[in-house]
Amino acid sequence: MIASNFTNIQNHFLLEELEKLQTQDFVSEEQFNQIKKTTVSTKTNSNILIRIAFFFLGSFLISSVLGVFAVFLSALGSQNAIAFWFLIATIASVVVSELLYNKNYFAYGIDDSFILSITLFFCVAIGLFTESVLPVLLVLIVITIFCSIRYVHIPSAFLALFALIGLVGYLVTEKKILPSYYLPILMFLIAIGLYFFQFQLSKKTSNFIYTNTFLTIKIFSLVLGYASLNYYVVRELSSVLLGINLLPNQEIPLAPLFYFATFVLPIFYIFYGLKSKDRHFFWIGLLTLTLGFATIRYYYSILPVEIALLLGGSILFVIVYFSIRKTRNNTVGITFNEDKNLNPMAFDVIKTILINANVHTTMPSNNESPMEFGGGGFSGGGADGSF
Amino acid sequence: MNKVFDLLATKNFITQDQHQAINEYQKLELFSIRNELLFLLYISILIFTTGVGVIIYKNIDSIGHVVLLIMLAITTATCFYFCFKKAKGFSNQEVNFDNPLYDYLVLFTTILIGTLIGYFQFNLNLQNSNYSMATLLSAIAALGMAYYFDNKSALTIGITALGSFIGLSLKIQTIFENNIFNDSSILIAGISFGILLLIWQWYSEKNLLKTHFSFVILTFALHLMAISCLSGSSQDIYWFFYLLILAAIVYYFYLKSISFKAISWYVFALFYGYIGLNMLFFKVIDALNLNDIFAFITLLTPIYVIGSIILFIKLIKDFKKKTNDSK
Repeated sequence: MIASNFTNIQNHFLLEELEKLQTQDFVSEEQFNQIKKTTVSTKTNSNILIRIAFFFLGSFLISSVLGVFAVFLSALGSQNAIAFWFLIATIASVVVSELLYNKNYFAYGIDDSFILSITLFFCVAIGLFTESVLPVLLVLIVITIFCSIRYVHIPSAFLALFALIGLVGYLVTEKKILPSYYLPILMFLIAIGLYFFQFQLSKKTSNFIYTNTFLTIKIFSLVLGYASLNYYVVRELSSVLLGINLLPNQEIPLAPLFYFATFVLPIFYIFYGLKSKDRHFFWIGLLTLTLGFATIRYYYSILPVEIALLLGGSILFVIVYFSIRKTRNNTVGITFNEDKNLNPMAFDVIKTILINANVHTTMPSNNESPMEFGGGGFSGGGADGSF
Repeated sequence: MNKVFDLLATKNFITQDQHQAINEYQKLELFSIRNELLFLLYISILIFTTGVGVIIYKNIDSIGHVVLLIMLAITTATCFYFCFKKAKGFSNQEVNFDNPLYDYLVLFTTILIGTLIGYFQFNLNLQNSNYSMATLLSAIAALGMAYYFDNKSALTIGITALGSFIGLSLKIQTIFENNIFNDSSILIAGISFGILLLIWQWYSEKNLLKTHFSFVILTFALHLMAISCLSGSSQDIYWFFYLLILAAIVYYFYLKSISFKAISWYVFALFYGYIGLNMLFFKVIDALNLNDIFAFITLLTPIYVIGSIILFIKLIKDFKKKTNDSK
């Protein structure tokens, strides 16, 4: 059973790949349609909206079934009895997940809700039985790893990564297995470990169906690597988690390292991304660089906000303008030419949302923003202007 | 990445020749950063205009309104001139600038025009007059820019401004701030504006006027009308009318989504329709005073949910079939 399902999932991904080739005109449309008809694939919702909609429907189903049971079982008082029923619910979720899996449903939406509820119910049961954090975290990791391997399930893999971070954080901050100021370094090492773990495993052709899982690990490790060394994160978390109370002009231990990493790591990501033609590195580099600037502005407001915005906007514009000029006619390597493989509308939604959210077409009459600016600006401006 | 193509070749999904052609192509190591650069450009414009806005706001009393107005007007006119010079002129079809950068200049100009008009009215000290005139003028200007220069961002601004003119806040934030619409006049304004958008789209399609704008216009119409109806359906008296209108809208967009092959409309139409249906059930249960058998209804819900899941699976299959047939 497993073997055939794995082949189907593999076929699904191969067909997706083939469709991309078709848009690039490497493969003719007839060939693609021919292969699509003859190949057994999975029942999948590639559209994320539909998948989310079905996920909600599946969750409604689970909660309504729980509601029915709650009517009958409301008489149960003891905690262990409730935990026992959560165990039963876990088994039921496993059964339904297996059924859907064998019926060839893969990333359909409904299967997601059942696979996630396995984890949820089992962890609730363990939590009720043991009443301590450590076993729950351990079980969470084990069961999500199991789900992500067995069902090729990416949300589970994502949860597993979070659970891993949670476990390490818990061990260091609560159980004190290490001096707590090593935590950022430890997290960074974990990020590097995760990155090379997926790097090695994703090389194997037999692991092809886990491509997206490895991608999740990769992106997670890149973000974690940055977050663990970002000055803002380290400083705020040290006061929240480790109880180090810092005065505004007091520095955290190893501050130069974190300042350095806040900027150098994003730049490394961007350059590595461009050099190895790796879009994920590139994107995360751009994103984290923005966060780096935000971090510095949070602690040191060197320039007034309007000058910073004007300067930032102009510098960015100049950089982009020259990059476009430089790459416009490249036919090899980095180029400004369109790649048919990529969706040109990729950023359109974000753009529309930004426009919709940022451009004020109504003037001061009814908006809340003028109130915030008003008072302070006027008094300061007056003093400057007249003397 | 190459292993994917090896795998495709070993499974005979692609022929050896195709495999070689792909490998040759891969050797070029093409890496298009077009989308990213254009996006960054967009961000830089937004940051810059925000900066200008903040400066104007802070220095309104020291620089003087007239100077600012003149500066703003000169900038706007310069930008507009460059847009106009490079544009290929008005056409009913889709026209693009040779250089995509000019699309962003059009956007920039549109925002500037809006600022200029609003600021002008503010400066003429018409505090007692309401600002709807300025909004209407901005809307007209933005729509003019959108149609002449074929710019979808300007179209978005234009529709939003037109909405504000009749008292609607068509911003995404309002949904999250949870103060959407709560009195009947705004709900009716929302629905009427939606109908206006539908007529607008219908007219454009009939006269083949910028038909590629339809998607933006109809998306606004769908969400605006459906959300207005759903908020209206929680009212005490007229809820039934709102649900009736909702049913009509859902049906209309059911048809539209199939002809446009727009699965996002289809999903949202189903989603709004489903919420509306559940609203109806609640209202009926409430009206019939079925609270005594509430436990029994709880027992029925799993069956109801399973039924709706099956229905949705069927509907999605139906959509795929219909859109494939029309190919």
